[in-house]
Formats: sequence, structure tokens, C-alpha cells
Amino acid sequence: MKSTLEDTTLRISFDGDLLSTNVHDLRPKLFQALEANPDATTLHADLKNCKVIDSMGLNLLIALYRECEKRKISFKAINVSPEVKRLFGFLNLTSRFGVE
Amino acid sequence: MKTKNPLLLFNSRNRSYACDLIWIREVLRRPSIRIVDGAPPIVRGLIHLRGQILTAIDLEARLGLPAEEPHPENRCLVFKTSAELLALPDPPPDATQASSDLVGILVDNTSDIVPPGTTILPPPPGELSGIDPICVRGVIPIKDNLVTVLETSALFNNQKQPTPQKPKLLALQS
Amino acid sequence: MSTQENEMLALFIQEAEEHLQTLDNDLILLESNPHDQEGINRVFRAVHSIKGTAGFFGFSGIVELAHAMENVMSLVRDGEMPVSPELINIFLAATDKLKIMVHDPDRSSEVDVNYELSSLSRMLSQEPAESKASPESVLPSYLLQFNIDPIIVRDGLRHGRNFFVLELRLHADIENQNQTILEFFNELDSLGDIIATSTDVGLEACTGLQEEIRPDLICSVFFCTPMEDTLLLGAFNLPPSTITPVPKEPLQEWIRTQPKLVPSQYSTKHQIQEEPTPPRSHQVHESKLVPVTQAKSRDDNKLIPTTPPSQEITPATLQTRPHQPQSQDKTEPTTNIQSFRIKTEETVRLNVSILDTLMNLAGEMVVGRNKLVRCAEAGLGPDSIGELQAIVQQISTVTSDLQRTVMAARLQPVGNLFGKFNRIVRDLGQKLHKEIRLEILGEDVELDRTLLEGLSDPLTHLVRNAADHGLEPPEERRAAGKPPVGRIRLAAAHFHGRVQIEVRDDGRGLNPQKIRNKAVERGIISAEAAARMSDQEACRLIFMPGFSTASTVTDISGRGVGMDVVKTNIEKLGGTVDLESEPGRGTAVIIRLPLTLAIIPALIVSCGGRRFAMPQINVEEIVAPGPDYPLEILGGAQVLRLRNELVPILDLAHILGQKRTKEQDQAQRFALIIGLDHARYGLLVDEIDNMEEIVVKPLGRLLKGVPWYSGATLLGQGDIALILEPAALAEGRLPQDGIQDVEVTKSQSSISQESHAQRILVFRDGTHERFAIPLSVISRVERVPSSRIERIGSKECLRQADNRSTLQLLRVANYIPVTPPPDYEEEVYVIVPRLVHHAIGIMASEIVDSADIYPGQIDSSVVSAPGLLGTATVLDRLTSVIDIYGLLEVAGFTQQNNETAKLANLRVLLAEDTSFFREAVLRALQHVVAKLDLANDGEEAWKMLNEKEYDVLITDIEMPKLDGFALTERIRSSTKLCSLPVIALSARDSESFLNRAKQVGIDHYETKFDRDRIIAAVLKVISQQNE
Repeated sequence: MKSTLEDTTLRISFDGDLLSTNVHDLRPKLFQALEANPDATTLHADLKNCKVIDSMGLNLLIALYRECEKRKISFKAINVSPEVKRLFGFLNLTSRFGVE
Repeated sequence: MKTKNPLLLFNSRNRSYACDLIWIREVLRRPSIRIVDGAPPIVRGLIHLRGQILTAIDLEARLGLPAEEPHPENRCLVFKTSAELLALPDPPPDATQASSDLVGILVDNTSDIVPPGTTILPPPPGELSGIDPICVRGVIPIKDNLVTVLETSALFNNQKQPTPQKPKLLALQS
Repeated sequence: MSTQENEMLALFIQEAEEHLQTLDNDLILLESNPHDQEGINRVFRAVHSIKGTAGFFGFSGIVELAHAMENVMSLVRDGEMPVSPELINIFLAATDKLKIMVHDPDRSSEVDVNYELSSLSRMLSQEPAESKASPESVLPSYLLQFNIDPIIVRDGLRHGRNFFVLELRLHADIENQNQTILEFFNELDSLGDIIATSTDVGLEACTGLQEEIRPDLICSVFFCTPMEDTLLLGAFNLPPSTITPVPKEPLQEWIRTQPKLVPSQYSTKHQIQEEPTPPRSHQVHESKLVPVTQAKSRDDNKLIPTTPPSQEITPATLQTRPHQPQSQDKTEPTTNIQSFRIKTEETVRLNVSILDTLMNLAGEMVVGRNKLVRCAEAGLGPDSIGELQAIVQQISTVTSDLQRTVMAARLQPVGNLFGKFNRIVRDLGQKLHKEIRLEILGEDVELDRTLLEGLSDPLTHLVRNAADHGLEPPEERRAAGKPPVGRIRLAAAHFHGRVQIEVRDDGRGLNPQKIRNKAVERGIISAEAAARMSDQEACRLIFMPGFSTASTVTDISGRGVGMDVVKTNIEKLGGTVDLESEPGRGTAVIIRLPLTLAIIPALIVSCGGRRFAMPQINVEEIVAPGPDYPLEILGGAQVLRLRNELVPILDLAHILGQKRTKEQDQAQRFALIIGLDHARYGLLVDEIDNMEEIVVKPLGRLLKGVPWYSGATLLGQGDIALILEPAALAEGRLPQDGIQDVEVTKSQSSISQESHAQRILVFRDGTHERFAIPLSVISRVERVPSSRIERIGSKECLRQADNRSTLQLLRVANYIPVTPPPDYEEEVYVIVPRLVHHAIGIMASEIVDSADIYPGQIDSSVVSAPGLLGTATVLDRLTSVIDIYGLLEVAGFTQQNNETAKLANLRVLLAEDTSFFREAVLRALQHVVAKLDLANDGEEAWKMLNEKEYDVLITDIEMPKLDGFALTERIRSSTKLCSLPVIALSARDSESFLNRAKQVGIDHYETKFDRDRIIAAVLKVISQQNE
């Protein structure tokens, strides 16, 4: 996972799929990233490398979303693959995640 | 009145009768009669005729005369049904009164045919006492005999019961 | 016009008429269920189909009317117009007009439909329904979370889909089934429409990244599918708690509140076809011909959907025909069809399976014929006869099958006819301002087509009559304590080979007195004759010509169309009509249609040298009376002991009044055990021939009055056999009101030991006290309505069914000191004892049970009255055991015999092993003779006879060790005892026994066990001896 700050936008790029196997590690890292960039007003979750998201992965994303909500940061998922977009669509998360 | 149609002469129990030839379908010789237990006395039994079952009647019983033994069984005059009469090119006027099912009368023998144009006389008084009057058209003198000319349509009249009486209320099937 | 065009037009008319028939029924159903979406769809489809095919032929009149109906129905289907009574009325009126137009389509434009069209267009321009409920409040709360697309909901409702809310835990419910979330949703999506989903992101537990991510995400799905919930759960292995069905009514309401919807512009997957196949929720027999007559019943579950009509007559299907009809070009048809008239009644619809059977049979016929040809060509040989017989056998079978199949092809379910009455009854109800409900039973019963056609008019008249005259208006019904909705029931049933059709109403019933008066008024009968008639006979007067009980002749039941016309019409079909009526309760007209036009299996028998046929359906078994199945006399009537029961015997020769010779009566005869609805009996005939399939021919008019025959048939050799009517043969000759077969133990006829148990019948008479009578002395138990008990002086009597004998009834309480019973309820049991001289019956209010009792059980120390043997504990209750003969004595049924003085010096030995009958003799003679000794069996009797002096021996026949016959033989061979008077006392009265008794030298054989007879018997033998 990489986090880069571009202006006020914090971009989090995930290395691969968001699965129960790596969610556990990612969580504290995401938290750290947010803590390290208190001035960010927008968070882009870059899912370019993410093909599969399972329920834990979703859980993580939602937790991230909630965390952003708490911090008044707008959340957006970008570079979403067609499958993931479809998944978000089924779960009615598309608009919430700001997916285009 | 004069007859329009030929008449068939026949004998039953020492009486001579005549009826319209056109009403007769065929004459059976010595038919095999299946007696029906419990049938009204006018019915002598059933006869099998080429796949159909015909009801054989006793003529004297129908006319109201005593039906003495020996019972005639030599010949059976089979009558046309109303449907068969109506199918003729020139059906008799009272064809609808004929029987709807196959019936016939058992007689001793048949004899001559009386040509059309013969005069039918009204019966002399007392001559035909005991006979149901609606069944008789009149008489014809032949040789020394008085032949009773039957009103065939009345014999198997659909509307009335064989003996005119008050309607039988128990006629409905229980 | 070509034949093809004729055929097509005929097909159009036939199908359109079918559509219109079901349309009628569907509209009526819709009237009671205005929210039934499936019903609405059916009406829409029917109208749409008629419009389509009529348009194809260019019948513009039909098209215009059907189109207007379709437009209105479209609004209803979308929920934008409610189903109102007004709508139903207009649609029914329009349907009627369509029927007229379809009947003669060439002239359909001439039919005036202005009223219907303007009514329909008025409905179209009306504002949508007023219900301005706020959209959200209409929906159930659990749907409020969703963003619902009304178009999908509308489409789902249109197609009769089911709506569910699924609550799914993403991990526990989905991933645990070894699938990804995406896979699951993809599959779910393929099974229906996911209308909306909602994933809860505001989980209490998940407030951010700080906590461990533990809770499972829950996604709610609002789903629409043709599947049932159980199927859905099964498909995904979901627990039932995940699914909540959503009722359709709130959705429909909600749709109505939505602004006018445009046609779906959804993705291609959801493209709604105009007329998809309706869901097949039940198995449809594939063998049914397409198109299929819709079998309709009151229970919607039985509805067998047709394949959508629009798929039938379309240009596509017509292309399967070899020649293109000219009318393919739509501008052509009208001119060609003008002069064409079709009689659609001449065509018939057949079940494909019958056609298949006919094909097979035709094939078998060909095989048989070929064999015959070969046989003839081969000439006569040693095997010819055998071969010929085999071929004849085969051809015979095929011919029978052929005949049967063709007959079956003519059969139609009576429901087709009955179904028409839904509409008629509904209209009648409206017209007469009465609430009428039509019940239909037995619609599957099949009848020959001619019979069905012939029934149509009479049934219509009867139904109209029932509605008009039979049923009362709602206020009158309420005042009489009846439900306001009157019922008319059309029922069909098979009843012993006949078909019975009933038109029954629960209205006023017939008024016999009013009918009598009317009949006298009309000169149909005289006043005296009317007065003499029973109520039942009086009611039948309405069948006489010139009769009408209506005080005003309404246009509903018609002028001059009377019940006599109904009767004549039914009789033309060979059937009969009868009436049942109860004032205040209703009337039923019962039509029985004969077996004509039928082939039935029958048993051919002979009696009096004549052959008869008994329909197989009535024959339970054939029995040869003899030692194994003995004939006995009971209460003056002949019975057959058939294993454990007694079956009343009727002699066919006797019923028919045949003259019999002695040889005929003494020859071995046969009993046909006949099973009727409420009775069984044995019919005695002379010979049994064989079983045959007979063609039923009706009897001529002159013989119709003879009730014993239901027709005649020709047997193989040309013989005529009369077909017997088993119910009529038994009429008035069997006990009525249901006989309870009492299991008669063999204690009379078999050897019973003292130590053996006796079967007793336990009963009550009003109070809780219990009584018992040995089964062996019971002839039968009858259950009788109390109304049939008559009082003559101080006695109560029951007249027997044959009106010739009367049972005098005894109440135990009158003779034995027990608590007197309260008055009897509706029914009373009458226990008729056997072997008793007098015709009596003992009344009981309840038969408790039968039980076993050992003689030692009876405690006679407490006996307080004659008529009781004692008390015993039976079935855990104290029971008083009745002494029949004592009871009779107390009841005054025996007379004091002055002659008994002559017996005062007699010494009598009684050889009897059964205690109950020993008692009888004891009581009879105990105080009459000087000495009365008892022996338990023949050996003991023989011993005692040799040891002591006796004047008379009374002996049972069947005893252990030495039976009565053997004992008597010994006595007659003994020098000492050879002139001893011997009286045999036994229930067995068969000829063989009586003969044997005479043979061995028994002086008197007595079968009745009452006191008088016993004393008389003793007197007789004594006086004989003294001569």
C-alpha cells in the first residue's frame, strides 16, 4: 500500500486485492496514513490493482469511509475495475464511494 | 271414405283386421319372443331384429279385448318408427304419432292386400263392442267377413297411455 | 373460398368462443377478487388475443371493441385503474356483444356496440383513482430503505412475480457457501430482478479504522422473481430468516401513487415482452392438444393454463400449412368470407391420447385382417380352426377396444356445461336483486356429447327456476335465519353406472298444498285425488303439462316453459327426473341419465330359463349357498351367512313373479352379492353364465315403467338379456336406515364350551347405566330416527320397511328397576332379538361396544328382578346382563299356559352345553315339570339316561363329545330308551338338519327358544306318545 499526498488529496494505492488475508495488516497502515496527513480534505482510494474484494475487504473500505466521514474528508474510489464496479453496484455503494 | 293407401289384411284370434301397408316395415315369421317378467300385459315380449330390439305387443290386449290363449305368435307385423315414416317422400299425415321406438304386433297370419280406393264403412252398432274406438277407422266387408280396419297411428299413440285413464302419478322413477 | 380458409375461420370462431367463455368466468372471479393480478392478466390476454386474430381476418367491428377493452384493461393492469363493479358490468356487456359478433363474424360490423364503446371510452378518460395517500406511507417500513424503481415493480407485478426482501450477511451467508460476493449477486440477478439494494454502512460497531474489523456486513436486497421463496432459499442455501416476502397489494397501491409511468427503458435483460408465457405453476399434461380447452374450477389451483392464444393463429403458425391462404393478405378476407357460414358445433376437440389409441387400434386391426387373409389363402389345414380362433380372439379384442375408444372420444366433462352457469347465475342475481352463489361439483364427470347438448336447455330452465322461484330475497332469508346469500348447487356424480345430475337450492322449498290447489284449479286432477296424495306425490304434480306455480310468470323463467318440458326433454335422452323438497330448506331436482350409448361389463345369469345381465359394478362376489354359505330364516326373511355376517337374500324369480317348478327351486342356486350405496343383499339366480361386455340398448316406451330393468342387450347368439337394476330389485324389501351388521358369533352353530367366553353387546338406555345382551341372541341392530316410532295406546312400535310387520318396542327401564331414561334424541337404536317368537325390539340410546364375558363373571346374587341374569364388570363398568326371555316374560309376552299342569309330573333331561340357552329352558320348565336335570354334552346325557328315569329328552344338536343326532341314534337303538320322546332345540334350521333330525328319529325339532314354544313342544311330544 502506498500513500501519496497531492495537494489536499491523499491518494491511497492498494497493491492488490482486498481480502481477509491482508485486511488485518492494512487497517493500521491506513490509520497511520490518515494520521500522518491531517490536512487532507479528500481521499482517493486507488483500486487499480484490485480485482477482487471480499467481505472483509469491503468491511475495510467501509471502515475507511467511516473514518473519513469522521474526519470530514470526502471519500472517493478511483480506477475501479469493471468487476469491482459491478460489485459496488450490487451493494449500492457506487454513489457512496463516488465511483464514476 | 275411400282408402288412399293399400291395406294389409291379417288375422288374430279368429278376427280379421286390416291396416295401412305403408305403416308396416316388415313381417317376421315365427319370431323368437323373449318374455319380459313384470311387463304390462299388453307387452308380449322382446324380439331381436338385426341388432335392434323391438317390443312385441298383443293386439287384442291393446284393443281392450280378452287376450285368449293360444297367443298368436306365427307372424310379427313390425311397424315403422315415426322417424322412418317422416323420411318417406310422402309421409302419412299422422306420422308423428307413430312410435319412436320399434314395435310390432303378434298375429296368426297375413293374407291379402286390399288395393287403394276401397270404401271403409262405419262399424255397425254393437259389432265392435269392447274395442277401444280410437283404434278403429271402420270396417270393410270382404267375402263373408267384416274386416276391422285399424287406425294404426292410434295403436302406439305417443301421447296417451294404452288404456285411457287419469294420469298415473307414480309414473316417475322412484 | 378454399377449404383451408374455411378451416381457419372455423378455428378462429371456435377459439374466440372459448376465450369469451373463459372471459366470462374470469370477469366474474375478478368481481370478487378485484386485486387478483393474475386474473387481470388473464382478462387482458384474452381480449388482446381476440383483437389480434380478428384483426388478422379483418373483422373491424370485433377489433374496435376488443381494442377499447384492451386499453382499459391495460390501465387496470398497470394499477392505474381499479377494478370496479361498473367496470365488470361494462366488460360483461361488451363480452356479450363480442359473442354475438364472433358467432357470425362476417356480419360483426352490423352489431350495435355504441353503448359499450362509449362506456369504455368514458372510463379511459377518467381521472386515475382518488387515493392520494402519500407514497411512502403506502410501503411497508422495511422497504423504505430502498430507492425503488417503480418501473421494475410495475413490470414485476404485471408478470405475476414474487417480491422479497433478502437480508444477507456477506460473509456468513454468501462467502461461506464457497462463492464470491460477485458470483452470488450475478447468480441472483439471473434469477430475477434486483430492484434495489442497501448495504448498511453505519454499523454501530464499525466506527472507523480504530477497531478491529469484525462484524459481518449486511446487505438488504429488494428482489423480484418468479420463484417461490422456498426455492430461492434452496438455490442459495440460505436460512429462512434471510427472506421476507413482500405482499403485492401495498406495491400496487404505491404504483398507483406514482406519476404516469413511461414504458420501460431498462437494459435489454429487462426488456419486457408484450405477452410472455404465463408461469406454469402446475404440471400440464403434455398429451393435451394445443390449443386446449381450459379446464376451469372454483379452486384456482386447478387451473391449467393454456399456451398463450396469441401464439396460435399468427402468420407464423399458419405458414406450417401447405398452401398459403389468400387471406394472408389482410385486404382480401372480408369479401371472400361474406357468404360463408360455418356450423362450429360439428367439430369436436379431442384429447391427443385418444387419437394415438385409435391409431394403434387401427394398426392392430390391419394386422388381424392380414392374418385372416393369409389364413384364407392358406386354405383348410389341420391347424386352421385353432389359428382362426386365435385371430378371431384378437380381432374381437381390438373391436371392443375400438368401440370403447370411440365412445370415449364422444365424452366430455360436464364441467364444460356447468361452467356456463357462472355467468347466468351472476346475471340472474343482479336482475332479481338476490345474492346467489353457484356451487359446482363433479365437473370431471364425463357424459356423451349428445347428452350434454340435450341437458343444456333443461338445466338452464332449472337454474332459472331455482333463482327466480326457489331462492328468497335476502331480507326474507335473514328473517328466516338463513344466510343472505342463496346457494344453487350443480352437482354431477356417477351412481351405479348412471350419471346423476342435481340442481339444488337452499330456498323456500315447494309447497305441496299450493301445488295441490293449483293442480285442481287447472283441472289436472280431481280434488279427491289431490287430497289422497302424499306430499311427495303432490310435489311431482309440477311435472304435469299445463302447470306453473309462479304467481306471476316472469320473463326469467319464461312463459309456458314448464317443468313438464324439462321432464320430456330429459326423457327424450332416456333419463328420469325426480324431486326432493323440504319446505323452508330448499328443493332439489335430480336427473338420472341412463347407461345408453355405453358399453359396460356385466355378469350374465339365468333365472327361470331367461337370461339377465347384472352390471359388474354392482356385483361384489358370487356365492353358492350350501354348507359353507348356509341359508337361514330369520324373522321370516331369508338370509345368507357370509363368513361373519348375515346378508339378506332376495330371490330374483320371486321378485319378477316367475312361475317355478319344484326342480328349479331345489336345484343348486347361486347368490350374487350385490353392493349398493346403503345396502347389501344377495340375489338368488339359477345359473351363472359368464362376464361379458354388453352394449346397452334402451327399452321401448311401453317397458319404461318396469323398474327392475335398466335396458336390454343382445348376447352373442342373438339372445336378448334384460339388464337388471339392482336398486329397484331391492326397493322396499330390505330394512331401511342402515343396518349395523352385528357380528354374530358361532356360538349357536359351533361347539361352545362352558369355559369359553361369550360375546355380549353393551348398550345404554338414556342414563349412564349399562346393559348387556349376548350377541348370539341378536338378529340385528337398527338405527332409526325417533320420528319413526309410533305410539299405539301405551305401546311404542316401529313399522318395518315392508309395511307389513311391526316391531313392538321395549324399554328396559319399563321392566327392570333402573333409572328411567330421558326422552330420546334424534336417533334410537333398536336391538332385534332372534329366535324369539314375537316381533319385538329393545330400545337403546347408545350402543357402547361389544365385549367378551365368561359365564362365571356374572354375579347373580344381586339379581333384583326377573329380566336380569345378574351384573358383571364389563369394560371397567358395572353392567347389568339382560335375560331376554325373562324380560319378555316380564313384559307380558308370554301367556300362562293352562296346559302346563299336564307337565307337572314330568322328569326332563336337558342336554345343552351353552349356558345362555340352558337358562332359557330352565326358566321355561323349572317350575312346570317335576324334575329337570342338566347334562353338559351328549356323553353325559347318554350316561344319565341310562342311570336314571326320564320322560323327555330335550337336546341341543351341536354339543361336544356326542352331538344330538348321534345321541338320538343311540337312544333309538337302545332297547331301554328307544321310545323316549326326544325334542331337539337348535338354531340351525337348514333343510339338511331337518332331514337328518327326521332320519335319526327326533320327535320334534324346535328352533325358537321362547317359553311358550318349549312348553308347547313338550306337550306335543307327550301327547303324541300317549296316543
